[in-house]
Amino acid sequence: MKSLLSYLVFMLLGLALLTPSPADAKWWIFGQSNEEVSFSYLNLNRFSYDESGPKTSIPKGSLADGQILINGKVKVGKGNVGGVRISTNNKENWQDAKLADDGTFEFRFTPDLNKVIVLYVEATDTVGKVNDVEKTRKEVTIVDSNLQEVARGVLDALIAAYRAEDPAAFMRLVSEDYAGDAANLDRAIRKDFSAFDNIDLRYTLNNLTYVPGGKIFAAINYNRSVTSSRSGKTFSDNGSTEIVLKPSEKGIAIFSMKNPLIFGLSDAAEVATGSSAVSQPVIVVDARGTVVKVPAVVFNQIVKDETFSVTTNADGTSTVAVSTGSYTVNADGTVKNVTPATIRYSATVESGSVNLVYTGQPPVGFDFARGETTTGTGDFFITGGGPDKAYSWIANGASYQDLGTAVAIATLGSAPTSGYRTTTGMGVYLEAGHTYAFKLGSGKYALMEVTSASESFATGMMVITMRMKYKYQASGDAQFLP
Amino acid sequence: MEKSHLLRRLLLWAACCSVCAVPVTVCAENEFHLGNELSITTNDVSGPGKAQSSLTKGARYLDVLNFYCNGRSNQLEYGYTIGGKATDDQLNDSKTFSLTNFQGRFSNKVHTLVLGDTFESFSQYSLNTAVKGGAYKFTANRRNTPEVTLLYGLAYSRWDNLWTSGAMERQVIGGRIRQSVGDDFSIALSGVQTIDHMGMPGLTLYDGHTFTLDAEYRPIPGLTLRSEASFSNYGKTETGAYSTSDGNAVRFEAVGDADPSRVSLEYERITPGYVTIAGSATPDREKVKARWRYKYTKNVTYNFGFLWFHDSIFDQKADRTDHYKPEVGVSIKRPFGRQYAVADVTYKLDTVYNSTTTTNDHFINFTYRDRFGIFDSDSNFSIALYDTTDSRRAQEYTYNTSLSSRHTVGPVILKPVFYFGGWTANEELAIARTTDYIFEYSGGLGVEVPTWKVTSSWKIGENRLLKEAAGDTMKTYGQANIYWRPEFAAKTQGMLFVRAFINDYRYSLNSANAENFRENSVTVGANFLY
Repeated sequence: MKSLLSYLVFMLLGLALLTPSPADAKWWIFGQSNEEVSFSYLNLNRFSYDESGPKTSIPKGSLADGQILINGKVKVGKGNVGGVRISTNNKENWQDAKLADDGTFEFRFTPDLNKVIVLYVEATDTVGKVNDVEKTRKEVTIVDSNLQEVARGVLDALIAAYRAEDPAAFMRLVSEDYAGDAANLDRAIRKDFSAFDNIDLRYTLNNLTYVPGGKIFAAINYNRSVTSSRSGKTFSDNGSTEIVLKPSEKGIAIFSMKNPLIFGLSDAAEVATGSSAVSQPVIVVDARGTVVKVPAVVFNQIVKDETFSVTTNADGTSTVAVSTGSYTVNADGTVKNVTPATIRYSATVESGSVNLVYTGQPPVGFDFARGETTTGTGDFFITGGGPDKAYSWIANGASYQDLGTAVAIATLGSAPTSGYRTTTGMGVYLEAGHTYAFKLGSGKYALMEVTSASESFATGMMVITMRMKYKYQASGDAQFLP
Repeated sequence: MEKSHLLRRLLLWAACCSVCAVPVTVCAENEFHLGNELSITTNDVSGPGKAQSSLTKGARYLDVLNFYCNGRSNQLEYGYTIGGKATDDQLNDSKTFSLTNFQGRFSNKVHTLVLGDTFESFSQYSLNTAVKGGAYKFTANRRNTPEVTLLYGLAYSRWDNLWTSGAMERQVIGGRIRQSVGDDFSIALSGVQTIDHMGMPGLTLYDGHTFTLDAEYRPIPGLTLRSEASFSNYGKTETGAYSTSDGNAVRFEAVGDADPSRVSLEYERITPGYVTIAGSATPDREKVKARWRYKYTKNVTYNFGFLWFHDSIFDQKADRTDHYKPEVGVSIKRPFGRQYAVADVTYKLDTVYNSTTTTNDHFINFTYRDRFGIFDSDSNFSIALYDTTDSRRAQEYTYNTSLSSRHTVGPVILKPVFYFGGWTANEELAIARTTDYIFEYSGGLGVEVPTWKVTSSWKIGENRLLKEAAGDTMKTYGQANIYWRPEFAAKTQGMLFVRAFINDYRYSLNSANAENFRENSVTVGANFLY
């Protein structure tokens, strides 16, 4: 089979070699000109001068170093190339291009924004003959395009090509000097297309920063679902990542990506050059194309190890083997068990007991990440209460849910990953004996057990005292045990 | 620690807020743009398998607002960018309101100051990330005067990280000095210090610096030589233990671009101890890369590529792994004398070799585009052969074709498109040898009415994954997108849009259909740019 395929490939290559070629069609663009002075090829910013038409607009952000490059090669009938001049102001002034002995030349200049540049290119030979300068007239306008629109256009095109599983269209948007090597990304997305079916990928921009004429940094939130071709199961995840785009001869193209990847998951170790913080379960693909969703702690270990393997179990779980051991994970990315037992989620859990005492304004609150009582701020804060309960406000961006009275956080293995409520314009009573789960604005989880809450007027003012135990999972996992 | 952390954030925020000190009336004398897009999405997810959906059920909004201002005052050019996002869909953003962009830029062509979102052109090894802070650049535009760039900031990916807890506080301080010697040679020295002030338990903290020397030389037209050398020294705190590492990275690149050929050669070597937190590099790697694009004739172009790299630079690993990735391709315009035809053939090999495992994956691809009568066709056939010792041996065949055309009927432009594709995979090393199939087919229609400034696209299709040893999956889908640029919104480049889709997933894995689900989504929105 392989030998037959190799034969077919070389047959086609041979056919191409034998394709009849006109005598001088080896040279680009200006073909069989009878002019004594002409161009073998002429490029504007590495694209064919002829193909961009008599008028063209170029986004400023796509110019490498903010400059326009005109380069080409002069062809003369007799004698040698005498010189090449470029005019950028409709022949008012001419500037010499840098010329080599073989007739190749290049010229760079920094254009003004939103101004029409009228270009002419003139080449002369040593006997005084000149090319047809009028044929080279071109109006170029550098436009200060909304950079968000330019970057979003590139990201939208990349996602469209990835969803269509079109590697050629995708790689046209990858810079040749991609930081993790374009060849690695090319192989990786082809393997992604083998591993995935029904790819659905959406994003919103968190931040866009650029260097004029240089790179564009994009931080995005993504949300995707894929069907595994091997298992037939559908997985979905969401998270944040960072991508850098840069101007290239292909236009704005992708230059580097960080973990968690949204493209090239099949070879993340080679494709990604850096990592963003991960707090949610992440879809990963092993070398055999097996797709699984793993919690953040496992993903971080995979990034360190650069290799891992997945075994699908009969009960629908998957076992992920990394250097520190193996994790059996459920389809939703939570951990069912860990081997060896020395691997502990609790290693990254911070916990404690706190008394919050509200005596009036400002309200008293608590910051789970810092493990500190706060005044007027925090993930929640108390503004009142009653017997056996404290009236509190949940911070903007955070959400909570009441797990009831039958749950002690000492034995609670994980926080729920869904079912959280936000409070808009209304407070919530935190009741003694109840355990609450919080999903904080950072996306991380916390558990709180209200051991007691009391109201007192002994000082003549209302004093609310709430005693609580808490746990905060700094790794971002919903898992707290083992 | 706590006070210095607060002080850093306060100073940073104060510096960034100084962009607001300039009266807004200055903007009114110059140019400003306001762009906004508001969309409301209603999702309905139903079925026993609805937990697998990536949609948030219910009605959600998303608003993205951006404000830009550019102006000139005497010799000073300035610009501001402020952007924000609001959404109540946690899958769009965990924050209801967030600041997405905040930047002020001031320049008199010699001195340039950027505050807020900051990203500077240092070399790849030294800086490849944006910071929230500021940068100053001095560009004298005189021959013997170097260009100097100074940068300070916190490497947060979002602005909310500045005033909420739970994110790594990574301070970046950098400087670069670049000198051009003539028109053809430039050399630059950059230094970047990275300090993690506030980490999270379980995460690794770094503190250290990199120094990088990079140069570019263009000896003759069409030839560019680049080099980059970097040295790093970092301390690392992981699981309570502190360790240090130092290393170096070097890279040489030559690019020759003079038709009919474009050739690039690259050599890179990065030691295992090299660390660059703010830049991009893969440690413990030695690499050689070559690419050659050759325009054999006006219609035939060849592409050749080769990449080799390995780890265990100092033989520090028990087993070294070598990667070889050669590729060859040819693109033929007007094959067989057909005016509109383009054919592409590529062959790519992916070989990974060490003492215990050998991987040889082959990828062969044929693409043919042509016009047959009123139809434009785009067809693709590819073969992937996977072979990894004792792990995977599989053959996959992918084939698809699409037919599209364009018709003008009165004021309406119709663009029908039909697609059929398939995938066949044979897995030989599974306990039970299996052959799986994917078939996908769809029909679509683009409808444009230029006089009304309406464009729309409609599509229905089905995707079937048929597995020999497991359950089948079937997805039936429909999509509709309508965009309208009404006359009354012409001044603001306004557009109204409606996007809708239905996805119906059905699985045969569980006889009780426990995993079936359906997604219905409708989004209505408007955007404008003033």
